[in-house]
Amino acid sequence: MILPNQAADTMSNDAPWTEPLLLSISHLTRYSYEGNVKDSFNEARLQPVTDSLQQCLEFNLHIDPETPIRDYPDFYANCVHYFDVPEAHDTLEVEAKSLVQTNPEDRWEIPLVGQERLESPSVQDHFFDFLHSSEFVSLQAEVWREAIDALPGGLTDVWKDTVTIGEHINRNYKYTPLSTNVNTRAVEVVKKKQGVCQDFAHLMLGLCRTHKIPARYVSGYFLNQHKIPGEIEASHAWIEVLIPGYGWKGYDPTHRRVPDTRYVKLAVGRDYGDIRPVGGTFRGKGTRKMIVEVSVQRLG
Amino acid sequence: MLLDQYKTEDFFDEMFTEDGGIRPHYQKIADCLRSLDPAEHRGKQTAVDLAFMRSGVTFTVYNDDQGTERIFPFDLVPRVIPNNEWEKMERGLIQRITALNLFLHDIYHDQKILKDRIIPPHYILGAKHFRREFMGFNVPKDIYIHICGTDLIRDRQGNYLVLEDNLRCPSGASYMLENRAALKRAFPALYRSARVQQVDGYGAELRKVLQYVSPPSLGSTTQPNVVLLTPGVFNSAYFEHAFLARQMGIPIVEGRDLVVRDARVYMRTTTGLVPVDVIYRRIDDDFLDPTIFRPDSLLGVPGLVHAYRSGNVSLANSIGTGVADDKVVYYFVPKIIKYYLGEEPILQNVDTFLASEADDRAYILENMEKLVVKSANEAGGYGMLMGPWAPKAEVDSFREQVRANPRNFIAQHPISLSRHPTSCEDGLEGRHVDLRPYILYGEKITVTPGGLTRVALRKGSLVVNSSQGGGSKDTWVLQGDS
Repeated sequence: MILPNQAADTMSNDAPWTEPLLLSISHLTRYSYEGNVKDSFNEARLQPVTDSLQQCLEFNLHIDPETPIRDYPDFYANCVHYFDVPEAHDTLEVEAKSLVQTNPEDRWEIPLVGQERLESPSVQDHFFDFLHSSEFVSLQAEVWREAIDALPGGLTDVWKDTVTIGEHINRNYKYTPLSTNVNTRAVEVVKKKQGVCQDFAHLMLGLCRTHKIPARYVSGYFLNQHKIPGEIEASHAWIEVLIPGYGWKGYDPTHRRVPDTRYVKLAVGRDYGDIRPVGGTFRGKGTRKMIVEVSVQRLG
Repeated sequence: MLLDQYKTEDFFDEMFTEDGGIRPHYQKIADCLRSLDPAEHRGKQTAVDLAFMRSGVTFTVYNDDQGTERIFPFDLVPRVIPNNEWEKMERGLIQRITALNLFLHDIYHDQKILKDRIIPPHYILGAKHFRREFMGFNVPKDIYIHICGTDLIRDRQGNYLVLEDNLRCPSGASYMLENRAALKRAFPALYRSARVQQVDGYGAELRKVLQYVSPPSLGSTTQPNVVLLTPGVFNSAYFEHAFLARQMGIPIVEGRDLVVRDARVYMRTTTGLVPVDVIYRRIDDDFLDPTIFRPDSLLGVPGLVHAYRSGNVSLANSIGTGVADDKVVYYFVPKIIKYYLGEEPILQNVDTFLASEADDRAYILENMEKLVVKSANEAGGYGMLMGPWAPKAEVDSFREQVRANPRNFIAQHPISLSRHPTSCEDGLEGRHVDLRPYILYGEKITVTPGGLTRVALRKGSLVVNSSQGGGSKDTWVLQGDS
């Protein structure tokens, strides 16, 4: 699709962006502890991936207090940075800056894929991790019932039904900041009928997996020029489903659309628990304040 | 003591043949027991009990209100294995651990055994102890299982069968060593005349294994620093941890004694930080490193897993071995042996039903009161139903559990374990026994001749676990066949 060459922020929120974008991202996490802490060991998953939809052109991770940083690829091929701060400190800053070029989708047409293909051993075994319960997404009765409500006729075509499930969530669940927290499980979201992007993504994973569609969690950023009231950050989460014969394809239930060139992917996993952006342990008093500042700027 | 009134009943007896004769390899022991009057026997037993108490040969029972630490009951009558029987067992154990080690390598690399459909992939990928984080990771010398304690039982015909493989942190080797020391003191003359193979090489051999798997970055000329990592004094096997550390002459440490700096592990000492190269860890994977596995655990060492991943420290056993002693995977071990080695298994499994297979599940649910039902990932006799002896409520509760989560259960017909003469209130009576030999995998694979014979001290009981009223015996492997 070719769009008229118009100014970005006059575009309708629902029209997909198809022009390549150059995005500059800054993600700062600052912990302030009560008194000194030490022996802090941390992992960060903050480096944008490079794939057919985006290229990470620059990445820089800065830790204060300064300390050596190592990295390794995890099981889902995300780049994990690892660092420790053994000596006493009362604040810890983790600042990631990246420059990412995003490109529009130019794959072939999405094929129709029915139940039978999904149930083949090659799909069931190869994508095992994305078809079963995980820490945040437990495939239990409440989730199962919601999955039936979302798709009463059962599965007929993977992609069409993925969109139906996403729209079901978007229609029936209210985007409510602070109604949940980072530890909220999919089953609680079903009960509360509200949440934020992380919750919508977890719920959608649960519903897709119930219908045997392999589905994984995506953490990332979003060039957000039309904030949902109360939406404060440019950090975002959505999901990807596996379409046999095509590959992974994203869907964002919070905004009811396919991620386009405004989206930057950081990491994928079974759920949020696999890919916390920053996480670790330290010795010291348990009380601390955390401030997160994320900005996504369009450079071109 | 009188052996004439001893009844073998309908069981395979280790010492007596069906018609009441003494098996040739037990002749010397029978002679010795005959010459012993009951008071003398009791005297020896008291002396041994006191010695165990003094040296603190204890274990801990969880969820018990009678105090946590107990003496591990020791029975004076040794279990004897003739050399020809042992040699076959040894070959079988080496075959089994070789195959399981190849299996672990495969599971954490190409997963050929899954692609070839020998094992349905969901059993492995969904296994509780499958560590997907370590896919593609290479362990030093390609050894995953450095220390293994395999539980063997004998059926009514006297065939040795494998009951389970313990590939995570098998315990009990210290009791094997202590039992031998106690028996030598109690029956010095008998022991000398019987020509028994030694077990005291275990500590030195274990130390050699640990040194052998030191990180390649260390180079071959530097002597590696080896430590034993224990969860601490409240752990059921703390006695053993302290004992083995002393045997090997290596420090015993808790998590808080170790620190990680720049992806290297160090031990805190009064003279500063000392680098650590190899850790004989007696802590399960989940508790090793709170940054990676369980943030609520205080037992482990923050940063340890990164040091391991960076190849700066070796762990024995390696992370992720638990997937191979999942009881569902046990079912596939004969196929695993054939697949990797192209050999028939020397030691057989106990016939097993998998609750996650529809036909097996139907059979299990139908026949639950005749079966032994086990959770796939519990050890120490916990999470187990002995159908024929269990109250109805317990059987029903297991039926529900099996229905709710079939992947987590297997079932077996109860095996009438072999019996062994054991000192009881009224002289010698037959009690059920099993055998846990210890296998060490380093430059070569060695099986310590003997092992821990556990005995179910309660009359009629088939549960030998120390946490459930079991005791132990010294285990003699003879240099010859009688």
